[in-house]
Amino acid sequence: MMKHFRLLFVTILVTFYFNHLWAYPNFVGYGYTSCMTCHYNPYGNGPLTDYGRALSATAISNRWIIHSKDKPEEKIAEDSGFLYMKAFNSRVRPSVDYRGLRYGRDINKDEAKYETIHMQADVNLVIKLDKTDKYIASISYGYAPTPRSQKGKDVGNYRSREHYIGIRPNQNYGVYIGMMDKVFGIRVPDHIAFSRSVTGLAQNDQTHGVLLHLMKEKFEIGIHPFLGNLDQASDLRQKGVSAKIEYDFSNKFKPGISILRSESDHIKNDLAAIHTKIGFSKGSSVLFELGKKSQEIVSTKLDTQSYYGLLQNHLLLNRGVFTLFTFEYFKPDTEKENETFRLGPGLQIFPFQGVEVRFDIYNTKNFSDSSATKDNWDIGGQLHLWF
Amino acid sequence: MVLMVLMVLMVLMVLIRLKSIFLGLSLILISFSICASEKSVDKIIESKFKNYGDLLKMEEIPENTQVLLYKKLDFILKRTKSTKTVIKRDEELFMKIINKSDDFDLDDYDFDEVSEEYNSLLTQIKNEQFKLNYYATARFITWNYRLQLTDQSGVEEPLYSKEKGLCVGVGTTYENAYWGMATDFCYAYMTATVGEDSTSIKYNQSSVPVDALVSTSSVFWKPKELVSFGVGPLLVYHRAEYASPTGGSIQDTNNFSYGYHILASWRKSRFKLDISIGDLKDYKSSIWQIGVNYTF
Repeated sequence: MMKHFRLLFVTILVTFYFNHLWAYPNFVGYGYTSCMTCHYNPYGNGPLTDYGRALSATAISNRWIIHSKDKPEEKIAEDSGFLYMKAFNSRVRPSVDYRGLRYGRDINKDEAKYETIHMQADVNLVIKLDKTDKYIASISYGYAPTPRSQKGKDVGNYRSREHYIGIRPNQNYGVYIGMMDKVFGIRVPDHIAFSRSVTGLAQNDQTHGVLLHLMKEKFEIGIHPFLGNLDQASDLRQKGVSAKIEYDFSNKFKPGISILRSESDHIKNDLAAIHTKIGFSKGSSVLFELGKKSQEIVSTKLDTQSYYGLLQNHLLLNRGVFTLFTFEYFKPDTEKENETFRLGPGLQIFPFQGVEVRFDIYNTKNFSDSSATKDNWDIGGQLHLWF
Repeated sequence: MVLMVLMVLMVLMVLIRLKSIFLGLSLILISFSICASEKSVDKIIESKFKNYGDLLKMEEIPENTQVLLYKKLDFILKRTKSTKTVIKRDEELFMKIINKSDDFDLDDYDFDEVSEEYNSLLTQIKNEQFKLNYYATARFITWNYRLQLTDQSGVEEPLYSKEKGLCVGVGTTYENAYWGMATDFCYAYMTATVGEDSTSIKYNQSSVPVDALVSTSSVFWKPKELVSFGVGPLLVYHRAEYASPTGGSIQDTNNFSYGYHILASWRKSRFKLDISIGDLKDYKSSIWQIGVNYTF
């Protein structure tokens, strides 16, 4: 019975969240190995820099619908600011983000469920205290849906997912103080990925802390001591430290290792992972991450070790059109035989800057030594708007 | 009326026939004239400098000979264009002349333009050429196999057998830069968990050894040099030794099945990573193959 329950739990865990984080490490295929090129946060997520917006308008997105054929790319880049305007001053960078999802769960079964979720509706503001982004303050505030586990409770649907100040005297190092995602592994956009969901690094797992970011020679190093989410009850806050070291073998090959140790009054977590980002051809990439999680329940001293793996290719078909194939592995308890594999082909289209449409199919296979179950088939369609 | 149509058709056929004969003759004439002119250039060079190698070793080449070398390049270019074949000797000589042409001083003869055109032609021809390659493959493979259980009372129930393992084999590809075909055979050693998420069946067995022979073929398109998408047939022979339930039996342990798959691949030097998802007749789930190919 427990095994069935665990299988069910894993299935729900992996199929429930179709939300997104909003960083695209896949763009290593364009030669961008560091998130800092396009985001104010050196590890991605959150508002785009002016360069990031221009790049998304002229290289990542297609120019269908809103741009005439003879409009030069320079002009498109120039108009890539807030609401397709030129930057109206050098200090303030507002932006808005929306993500909506329509998904079908267990579509191959009688109890198939379809649901629409407004995952995110944020207003972002970056204030630049100088012209070269050395000193910035960033805040994102907006709507977040009630987590399924909290359904029926008043958890508050409006909150900040990210707010911090950044001090970056030069390209070599920066300090970021505030609330942000923990530094660990590859921040893939799909937070249903085991590498995000089972590690406690998903869309609602930001923490208050201090991020030290170093870029030296070909090394990129992040050290992130954190105090947990200060909006949570103090006994639930995961306090600890994470670190990530990556090395640029070339502008299209960047492997790295990550560690994280944290604990609250109830749970202790230890994570370790290796990963690599490989770009090939123009715009195409492969991401790979393999990690281990140890979790201890403080009251019972019950220790569970789990493994996860991610292999994702992101293939550019045409400007703004990509296919994704994601292969994932999860072993929730090394002492049990249960394993989950998931394969997900998908299509991602950026018809023009500010719009992303994505379709995904997920085929999940659960293995155990006690039963043979049907596969799970899920589908998802997303609309992401950012202006 | 019919007669008229037939006559018109006949006239058309004769004209078309004549046209093709005329075109063929023209082509022969043009080729002959090119060859004849090229031969005369070769003769002049050989009579004056023994061969092209000796000529190109000279520190200073007279202007009229530079013009001859330009003509030689032009002949090679035209011949390559018309035959769509890259002749190694021509390619080497072309490159030597181009390298030497940096020292030339001819205003009316653009060596760079000829070089660019020739290089682009070479790339086009080489991209279109099909090559036969062989590869070794190792891949993770998984599917849900369908069994039939007959219990003591003779009642038949379907069973799932969830199987996964490693498939190792060899294959061949025939491809150019734009598309190709591949086929391979691999032997899969897998383990299975048999049972059913149903209260009506009281049968479960884990770690059942499974052998399978898998043939995967595909026709693939390469939108980019290192990326390909394919589709093709699958053939699978499956064999396993499930323990029979007391008083009952299990059927369909051995089976030959067929199906199809789609795949996405990306290549990095000699390694190619494949992700394929497909469907097999009579199986109860998709079949996945995720693995690496090494091209010899």
